[in-house]
Amino acid sequence: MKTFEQSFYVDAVSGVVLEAYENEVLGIAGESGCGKSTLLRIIYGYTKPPLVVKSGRVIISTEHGDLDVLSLNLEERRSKVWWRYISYIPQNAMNVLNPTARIRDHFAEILRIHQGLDKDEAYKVAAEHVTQLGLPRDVINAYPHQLSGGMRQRVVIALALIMKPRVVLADEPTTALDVVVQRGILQTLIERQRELKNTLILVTHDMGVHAMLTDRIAIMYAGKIVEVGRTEEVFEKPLHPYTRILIESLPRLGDKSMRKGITGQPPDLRNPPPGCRFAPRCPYATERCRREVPELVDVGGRHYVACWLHTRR
Amino acid sequence: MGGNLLELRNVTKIFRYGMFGFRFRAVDRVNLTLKDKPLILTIAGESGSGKSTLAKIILGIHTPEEGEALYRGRNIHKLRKDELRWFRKEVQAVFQDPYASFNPLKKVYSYLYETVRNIVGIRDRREADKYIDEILRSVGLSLEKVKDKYPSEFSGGELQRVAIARALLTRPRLIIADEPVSMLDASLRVNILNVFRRIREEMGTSFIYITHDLATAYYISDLIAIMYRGTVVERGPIEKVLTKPRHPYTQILLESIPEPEPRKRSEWLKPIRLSGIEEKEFIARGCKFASRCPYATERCFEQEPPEVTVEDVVVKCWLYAPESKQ
Repeated sequence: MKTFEQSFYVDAVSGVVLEAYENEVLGIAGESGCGKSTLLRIIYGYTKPPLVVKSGRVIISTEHGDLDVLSLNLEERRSKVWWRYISYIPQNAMNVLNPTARIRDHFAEILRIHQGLDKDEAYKVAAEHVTQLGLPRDVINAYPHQLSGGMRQRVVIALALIMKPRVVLADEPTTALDVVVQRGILQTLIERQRELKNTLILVTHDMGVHAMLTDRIAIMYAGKIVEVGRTEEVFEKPLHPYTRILIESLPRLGDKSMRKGITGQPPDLRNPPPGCRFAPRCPYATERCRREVPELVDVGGRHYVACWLHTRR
Repeated sequence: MGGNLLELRNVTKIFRYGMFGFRFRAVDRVNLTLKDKPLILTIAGESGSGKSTLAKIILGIHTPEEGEALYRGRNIHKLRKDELRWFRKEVQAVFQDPYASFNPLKKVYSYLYETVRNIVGIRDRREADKYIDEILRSVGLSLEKVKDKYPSEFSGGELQRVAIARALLTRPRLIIADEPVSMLDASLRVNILNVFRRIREEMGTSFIYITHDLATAYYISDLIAIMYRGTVVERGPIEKVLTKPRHPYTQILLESIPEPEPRKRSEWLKPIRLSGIEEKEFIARGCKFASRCPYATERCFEQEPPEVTVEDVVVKCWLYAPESKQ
């Protein structure tokens, strides 16, 4: 369970149980403020105030046994865990690239810390690596501002993959980009995942991207996971009322039939409702929904849903 | 008897930047007509395609260097003072970020009241309130819900409705909506789009909907113009353009949209390779898409393609030029 601290707590991510398997693309979907980016930061172990983890663990299985990320301090995470076992691709590439350093020096830094390579060796490895990802070799000699937005995002992806980490986290990696560029970048990302057979956890609000890329999908609402299942199944047979309304509200090309959105707004997480957090907006809510929190249960075939409508007693 | 509500003839907007005044054609010889009927026209394009610049030209905020923009036969950029007042009443705007459209320290009601008093001309407070309430109800709100609130007290979807209501107060004939739903969550977007649909039907208002999202465009529009690097590469009835795209750019754009249909995955994952020399495209002499186009010939790089009409759709592409078919 994770919480933001100010003079009050915001229960931003609450009681999340989620497994990501080896060799899969797991999507985390949800709308602004649902806690999906916060969850990703916690998985990465980038927990600096105001983000405070009140309880819970994040475990990465490695060839040397389980790694309990949050039990390490930030310095240990930086030197032992990040890049090597788990890496993070943020939304805005400009935020992670140092504007005064050439791209090759970004690679050199990581390769020095984790593999002890000197500069010349590192430059060679970096050049080889970027060409494998379909980038021109010269990119490594450029400064970040000399590259287009799409190019920069590709560089950040190349950085995240250089140590062949077991887990790659991507937070809205292509949201700011044009759809044609987005398609190319996401294709690269998935080709690499298939090659490394690692785990890619992809956070985006864009349901289209989930439909095109993820094997399984977790739907978040107001800090909780409300549904998890195989992507095709969740899109074709959504069980949670929120998932259903979300998917049905999406306009599709070639279809002008009237669609309905959700009325109202998500709850204030400083003071979340006692029962199901979707109950105030749910057309099927009963007394029980307003009182008791539904647990995430398997309704068959590893399709999980947290809703009283689907919980047998 | 009809006439056109809006007519753009060869409209060009040039921005200069840099020490030597490098000229940059943000909007390049655009032709567009909108009949005087309640229609929704989408201007679609990626970031930097010039769609917002074009919207600002239509609103009279930017003056084009070449060509002319006519609203009901009158040149938008040469209106006399009294005509300008009329134009402001007839053409209204809704922008992307509703929080940026309202002063956070002013109650939103004051915007509504001022519009009614200054532009609509209702001076009596009670009468004005009654009118404001009626308009707010058409977007699913009411005066009671809005009256004492500051912008920060609304959710994004609600405040965008207030912005639409404010635009509706003058009973405009045309509303220019620039990415009005792109900041909203998917499940709320459709509510705003439904408001547009209803206003069009009930009040007979026309819309120009500016967006990069072709799925929402399809949902509400009758017509579409696809922009690329400042030029309109294809325009016509939306069903025709989006179900049978003719311009190579429209084709690749449509293929690249990630649709919420997992069954279309394998098609979408088929590799695409594009060159990435973006900056040069704006100053290219011939077709701006030529450097990326799989069908480009030498002529495409040399000469600007003509506008060719094929079954109600206007395509700016050499592939459809009559002589190239022979």
